[in-house]
Amino acid sequence: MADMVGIGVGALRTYQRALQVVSHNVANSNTEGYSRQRIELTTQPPQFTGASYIGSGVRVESISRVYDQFLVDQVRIHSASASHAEVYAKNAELVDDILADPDIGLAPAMDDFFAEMQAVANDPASLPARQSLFSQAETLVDRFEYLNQRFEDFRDQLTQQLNYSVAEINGLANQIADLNKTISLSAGNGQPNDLLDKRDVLLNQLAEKVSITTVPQDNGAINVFFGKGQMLVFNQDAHQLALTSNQYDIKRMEVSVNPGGAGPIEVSSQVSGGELGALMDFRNQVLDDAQNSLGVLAIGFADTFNTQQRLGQDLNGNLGSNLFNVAGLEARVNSNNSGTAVMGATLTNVGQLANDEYELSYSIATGYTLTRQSDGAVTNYAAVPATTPYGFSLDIASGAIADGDRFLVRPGRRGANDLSVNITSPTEIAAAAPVRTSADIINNGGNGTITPPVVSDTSSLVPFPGWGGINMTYNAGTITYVGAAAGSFAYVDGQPVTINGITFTIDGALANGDTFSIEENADGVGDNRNALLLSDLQNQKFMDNASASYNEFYGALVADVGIVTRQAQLTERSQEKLLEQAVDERDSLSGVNLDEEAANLVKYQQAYQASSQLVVAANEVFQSLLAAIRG
Amino acid sequence: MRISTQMIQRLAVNGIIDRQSDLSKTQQQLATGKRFLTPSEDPAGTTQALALKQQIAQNDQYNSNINRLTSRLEAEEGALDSAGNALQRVRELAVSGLNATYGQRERTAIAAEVRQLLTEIFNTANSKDGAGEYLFSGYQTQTQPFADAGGGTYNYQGDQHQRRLQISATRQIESSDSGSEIFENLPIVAGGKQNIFTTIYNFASDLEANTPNSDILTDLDTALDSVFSTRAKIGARINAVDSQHQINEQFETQTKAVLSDVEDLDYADAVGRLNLELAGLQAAQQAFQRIQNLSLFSVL
Repeated sequence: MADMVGIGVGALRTYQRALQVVSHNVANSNTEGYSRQRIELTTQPPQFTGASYIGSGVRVESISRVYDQFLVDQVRIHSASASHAEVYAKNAELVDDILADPDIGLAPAMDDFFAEMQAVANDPASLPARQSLFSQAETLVDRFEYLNQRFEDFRDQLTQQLNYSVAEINGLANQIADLNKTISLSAGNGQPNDLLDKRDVLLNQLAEKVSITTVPQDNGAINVFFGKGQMLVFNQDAHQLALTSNQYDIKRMEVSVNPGGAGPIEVSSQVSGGELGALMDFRNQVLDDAQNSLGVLAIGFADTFNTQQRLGQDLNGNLGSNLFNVAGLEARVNSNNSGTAVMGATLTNVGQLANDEYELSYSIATGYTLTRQSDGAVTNYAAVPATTPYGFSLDIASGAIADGDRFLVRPGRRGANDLSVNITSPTEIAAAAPVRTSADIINNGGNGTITPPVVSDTSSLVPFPGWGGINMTYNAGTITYVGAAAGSFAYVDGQPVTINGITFTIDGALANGDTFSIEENADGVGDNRNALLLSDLQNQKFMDNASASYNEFYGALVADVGIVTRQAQLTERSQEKLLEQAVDERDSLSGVNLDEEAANLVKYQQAYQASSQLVVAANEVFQSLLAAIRG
Repeated sequence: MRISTQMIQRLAVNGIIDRQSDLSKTQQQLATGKRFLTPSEDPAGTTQALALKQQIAQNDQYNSNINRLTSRLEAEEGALDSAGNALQRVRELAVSGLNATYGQRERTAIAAEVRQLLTEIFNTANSKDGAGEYLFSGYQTQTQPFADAGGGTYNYQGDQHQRRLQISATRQIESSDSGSEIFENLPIVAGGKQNIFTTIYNFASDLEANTPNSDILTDLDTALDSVFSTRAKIGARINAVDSQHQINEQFETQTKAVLSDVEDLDYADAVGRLNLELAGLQAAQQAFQRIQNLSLFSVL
């Protein structure tokens, strides 16, 4: 009887535990990362009665979580990828959006600018037409600056996001280290299921910030690494990440670690996956390229326009001056340089200018090495390279260079920011060409005509205004010229002749003594030759190794961002699905199913009720024995 | 496969969210009438649209250049017409003046009218267009082409160049003619070349002196030829510009059609899609509602 009571009470206690486990499961059915728990029941050790073993009831063997390390690892790995894809796509979409907006995009402003240029070509002497062009030039400059400012805003936001991200990583690392401590202390007395789940959740959150690898320890702790074996959590200690300034750019933040307090070591290039990896990738792959491209376009547009403008003559009768200001290309000094040299970079070839960045390093032993950052292509020079294949030349602007000094050339970076209108009055737009030609039609015996001259070089037009002009006289097959330049050439009907950068053609049958002249285009306010050439720049392919017009170059920039964004969105979607699958697989095993719990509830409830009947029955048996004794 | 309660919930909610996002995109397309709103939705289409829009903008500009060009050419045409008429009248007067029966008095009277016509022709050669620019001074459109130095000397102050305007990507047309070419580059019977003003001035002087020279008829014919042939050239240019205008219009229509193909929404397709997506969303919502009601706990 005592045994029966013992068994009944034991069973009651056991099923109470079982019901508690069911309740815990039901209560946590919505808890993130919770693994359902299962109670394992077993028989009490049997008693030997001399003849045989007799059972002595039930007891709880263990309460374990239903868990598969592989499935949990899969969730963590996919969390890192999915979060990387999501953050990368979100940021790329921001750039995509501003390039798409027709009201702020560059293309309409460029179209309007060239339309106004043609209006000036129609009426070169008209001040209103010139004023409109002048205003449109300012609008175009504003547009470049506005887009560039948006890129700069993205950089500021990015720095903030990096700050948050690093702070969260450090916080999570601390919490994981704390949990490591608690878990290793409790190990040995059965698994602390809920703490293990909690740590898995934290590891997962950490993986959403940056890709990690984990190594479980015998004491129950988990060590966490990122990048190429950079320690984040070791046993009960958390290491901290920090943001430090880039060696070339104080505003550009890099991720660094400081193991042993010996000073920060930059590890940006090792960071991959997760939010932090996505932010770094976005900066390197989208933002830098797009902003550099915009700058290259600004520089290329302004420089080619200025070149043609300088070949013309403005409404005041002066040679054209630069319509736009283009600042020097950006060359930055490494903060660790021991020398004092400041590097200057100068544009040499618009077509070769790319959205890339280049590092110049100097060593006494090997001279100068220029490394293209996108692919690591290296060119070596004995002296500071005066010509490079990248469209710029370098020179030491001031100071002295020392062994090991390094510089970073970012040709396009400031191009859009530094662009401005140089001329101060619309009269300075050089719509005319600086010289004109004439035949002495009254006195010439022949019927020769001379074409309007095309100017390709104004360096010999000095002084200007006040250039002396050139007079040509034909005699017996030869034209002799005097004035600002002197010489002679054999006359060939219809063949272009160039004197001091001025090209013209004389056609027809000439008579001895016929004269032609080239003179300064004084009062040539109705001349639109240079305006036509300026308008035509829109159709010329100056950019990208003479393969693209301004519009095409901008189109390529928009398309590049569009393609990257699209790919990022597709990756985001597929990573999301993969993560969903991984979570489903984990949940399929570890997640709580309320129907299942309801069934267990009923099962254990019934067993509990039955067990209590055992006690009742034992009591009744005992009572009947007592009654028999009382007689 | 074992299903957890959270999975059921997540599956249903994700299904609804996915459909809502598809629906929202179609809704945006219908609201804007555009097939894509950001470059990422169609990078190739975006680039193509940028290029097409530039072509359309340029073409618009060419058409406005054509309007400017036409008005200039018409101004020139008008000036040359009146110069031609005046020259004709001078020629008629010359024929009368050369009449052997006329004496000093009649010839002086004729000379007076000839001098009036000379002023008219001179003024016509110095006429301006609507924008206040001299028509016949070459590039120097704010310099009066011909100056009267007195005593029958007239100087051309312009140059021999013609302004050209862009009327298509590849075509430029002259919008002016040099006064030197029209009024000055004229061989005369007496030999050499002489501007028409001096020729008429001298003839008037001859009439007043009662010694008219019949060479004047040939010289006037040369001048008339020059005016008429320039007039014909301008007519040809106007024709060329008109036909280019038509080509530009055609080009614009075609380019706009291509642009529309690239970026405009196919409404029928989009509305069909919208209906499908609406039905899908409703189905997802109903499925969620029905599955939510199923729980063993509710029947215990």
